Amino acid sequence: MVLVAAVVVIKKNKQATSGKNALLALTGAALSLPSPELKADSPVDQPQLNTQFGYYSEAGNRMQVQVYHGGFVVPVSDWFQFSFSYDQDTYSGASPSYVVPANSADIVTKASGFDLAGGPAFGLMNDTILKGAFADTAIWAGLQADLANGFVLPTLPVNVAQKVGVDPNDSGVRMQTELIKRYLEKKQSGGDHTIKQIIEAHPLETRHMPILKAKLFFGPYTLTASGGYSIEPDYTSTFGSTYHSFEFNDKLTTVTLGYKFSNNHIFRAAPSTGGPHDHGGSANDFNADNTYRTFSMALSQVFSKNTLVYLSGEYSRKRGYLSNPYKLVHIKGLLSAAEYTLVGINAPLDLDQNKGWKYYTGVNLIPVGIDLFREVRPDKRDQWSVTGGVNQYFSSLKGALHARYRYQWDDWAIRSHTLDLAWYQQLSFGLMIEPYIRYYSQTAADFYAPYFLAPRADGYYSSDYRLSGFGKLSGGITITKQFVKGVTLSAGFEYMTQRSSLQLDGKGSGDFADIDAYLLTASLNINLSSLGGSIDNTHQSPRHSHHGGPLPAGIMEGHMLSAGDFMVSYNYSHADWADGFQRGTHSGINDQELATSACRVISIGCEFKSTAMRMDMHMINFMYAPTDWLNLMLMPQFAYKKMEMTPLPNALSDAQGGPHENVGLGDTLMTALFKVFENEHHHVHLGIGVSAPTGRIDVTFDGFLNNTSQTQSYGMQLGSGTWDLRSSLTYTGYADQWYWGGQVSGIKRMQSRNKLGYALGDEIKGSVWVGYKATSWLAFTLRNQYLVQGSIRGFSSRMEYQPSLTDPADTPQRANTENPANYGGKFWDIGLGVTFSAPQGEFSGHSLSVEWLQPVIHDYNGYQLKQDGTLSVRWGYKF
Amino acid sequence: MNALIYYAFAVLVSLMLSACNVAPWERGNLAKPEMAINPNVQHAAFREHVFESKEASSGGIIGSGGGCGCN
Repeated sequence: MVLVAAVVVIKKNKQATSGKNALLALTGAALSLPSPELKADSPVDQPQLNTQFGYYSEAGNRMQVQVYHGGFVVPVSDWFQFSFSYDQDTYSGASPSYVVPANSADIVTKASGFDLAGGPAFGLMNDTILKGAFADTAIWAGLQADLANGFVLPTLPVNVAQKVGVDPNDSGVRMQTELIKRYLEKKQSGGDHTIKQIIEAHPLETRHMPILKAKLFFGPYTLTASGGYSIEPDYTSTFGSTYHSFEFNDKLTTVTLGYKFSNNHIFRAAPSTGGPHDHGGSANDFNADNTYRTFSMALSQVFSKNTLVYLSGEYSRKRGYLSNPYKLVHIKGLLSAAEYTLVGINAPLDLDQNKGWKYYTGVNLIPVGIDLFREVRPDKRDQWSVTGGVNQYFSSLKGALHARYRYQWDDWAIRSHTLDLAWYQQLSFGLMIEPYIRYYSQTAADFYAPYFLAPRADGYYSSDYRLSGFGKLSGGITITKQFVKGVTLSAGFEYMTQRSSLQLDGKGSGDFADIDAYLLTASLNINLSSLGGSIDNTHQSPRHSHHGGPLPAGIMEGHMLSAGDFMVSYNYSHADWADGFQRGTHSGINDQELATSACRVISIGCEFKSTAMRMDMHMINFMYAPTDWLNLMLMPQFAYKKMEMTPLPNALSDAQGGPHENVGLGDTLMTALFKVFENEHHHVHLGIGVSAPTGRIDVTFDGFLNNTSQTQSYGMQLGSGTWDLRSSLTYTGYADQWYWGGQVSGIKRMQSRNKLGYALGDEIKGSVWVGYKATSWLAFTLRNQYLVQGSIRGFSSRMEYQPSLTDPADTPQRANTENPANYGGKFWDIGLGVTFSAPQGEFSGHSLSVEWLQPVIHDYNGYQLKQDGTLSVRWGYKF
Repeated sequence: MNALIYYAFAVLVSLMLSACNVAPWERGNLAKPEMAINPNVQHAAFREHVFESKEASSGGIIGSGGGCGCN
């Protein structure tokens, strides 16, 4: 509705004023993309591209999340619009698992032998109980003394004993039971233990989520349909939605009906040994499903020329497994000492443990330690919410106030209030700032408690802090800069404080939900067709960005912009290593040679070799020219790496091969380009910059970001871990249809060692190329590249974790990738490239370059997998 | 609490229905990006996903897709 209004306004303006303001207003309106749930709108006028990076971090080394979002919207016709988006989130860190009450700490913590991740109920229960009970000599001596004084061991519960197959009068089992009973009583009385919340680390996980969406516009009716898929190691979700919007009352009123569904599958990975070369993967020990259905109705109303109000209601119906497979609860008195003894120690081990405890004891919970169980929530949840909001524009201040309130309630007794207030202020130079605050308060679920001192009648238990009563206050600011030619950059920061004491009625108790966190976001939106050109083309023609012709896709920092220009380019490179091993220039290396020579021989030589590696780099290059002689570049990088390992003849018989992978933010480049010389046919510029160590160098095989898990090899890490100096000197020239150039570039590590004790080798690279512009939109390049790369200096202290070794140089190497000498070399490659560019028309300013770099002679340091070649792609858009 | 909600709902709906007419050429301010329901959709979606993962409430205005990521 608002966008329709925008078009009307623009048409009106167009008659009276220059087209520039009208088009800018249109761009702004189109970019705003109102939420489809509340209002109808009109198709976007140009294809749009949007990207966002988000970072969420909790205080105290709890959860950290990196979110990468990319998407586009394409107006296929004036009644049909199609969009696609892709999200990738990476999670790491730790979260609360359960709370132990006073006096019970020792019998449930890891010190007692309990393993959270898997928690097999039988074997570990055995260990947990026996280790504790039999190690306590005082209990043993006391029982012996009592028996000598005529104490009679109680008999066992007959029904449980019979099911387990134990004679209720068995003196050995009766002795065990009495020992454990006394052990529990001792542990649960006396002592000075305090209540504590157990925080468990989680492995690094990545979630991928593609979403397709279509919008159809039929006069006053708009249909929106979307569908998507989300996958992460322990959760997959298929979801979709449909919204129907009707405008009426002279387009002042919109009613929207919505329906969303998601079918979710929940897994829990069984514990993996997490060894450096345990590549066998881990099996799931748990599978469950649930289904969410949500029905919504919304009404939005233009109330005055400065006021928009809206109201919506939603009903959400959740069915199936709604518990969290990793959260535990501490419950006293649910199982007796006799039950722990009979089932935990004496039951047949080959029974299905999920059914086993229920079959023997009637208790429907899965024990994972003494008095410790997996949580159980109801398998249905009905949730309702009402949301109301108002957007008020203040003409005198040129700003808008947004106020929104949501009340939500459900049949788990959770009631929540959410209040959002935001102020949007337009400033000069296309800047908009948005300060905002949010207050949230919820009551606890009726089956929530930090721990349970007695069993509950309904059998539901959760100690998940997110179901407790708490309040949260957050505030943030977003700054958005709208560039003239349809480019919007935005950055935001938000800080949140969550406290039980901030709960609305002040009833919150304990500090189990207390946490501070912050959010960072940065986003870029682009109108893909050159709207800017159409605004300005009466004043100037697009200027040449570089001499002669488009550069090969594999050349970075190869051209300069003219003063005032802004360019965004997306660079992608893909490389594979899979074609056997090479030592120097010799190929045909057999496994025996690798086993004996590829690792520094300290013990038994190499036990594993890499069989394939893949690397994908995604780089977004922002380039801005404040003057003709100085250009500034910022380039965040994003990497995906995958490696396959296989055992060598030296390996132990139980060694497992398999893949491991790594994904995330790499190092970030910041460069300044200085023009050195330029005339009509020749141009020379110098690049000086740094690479900031934003990429991780401590990613582990098991995904846990702690100091004891073993890190993946050097080449699999995402960054160098050092501040690096990057410099380049580039020459370009042209004559008629031909153009050529040369570049020398280098990387110098400015620190001799990174935090783990090593530094990647320095690099120097030389390229010469020649290009031919076949037509105004098509060009070919041929390039010769020579790269010299040093081997790794120092040694990672985390490659093979051995606390007893004080000198990292003594650390054994078990795979070729762990030997620093097996890195770097001298590489001669030939590149063939093609570039498609749009010199004019709707897509003026766009170019797409592709280059294949083919190895000619590669002289590797040490033993390395042979590289197949490198594919580089660059899409660039100059404004 | 429910009575309060129904009351608020009734007041809001009657206010909406009594809205004065706003001519198309008077809708310039309403067309500004800052007057959209969600001026920054991606930013809102990211925040919504964080809140959904860390609180017991969800939904209301924006559907942020599926998935969990909710340790």
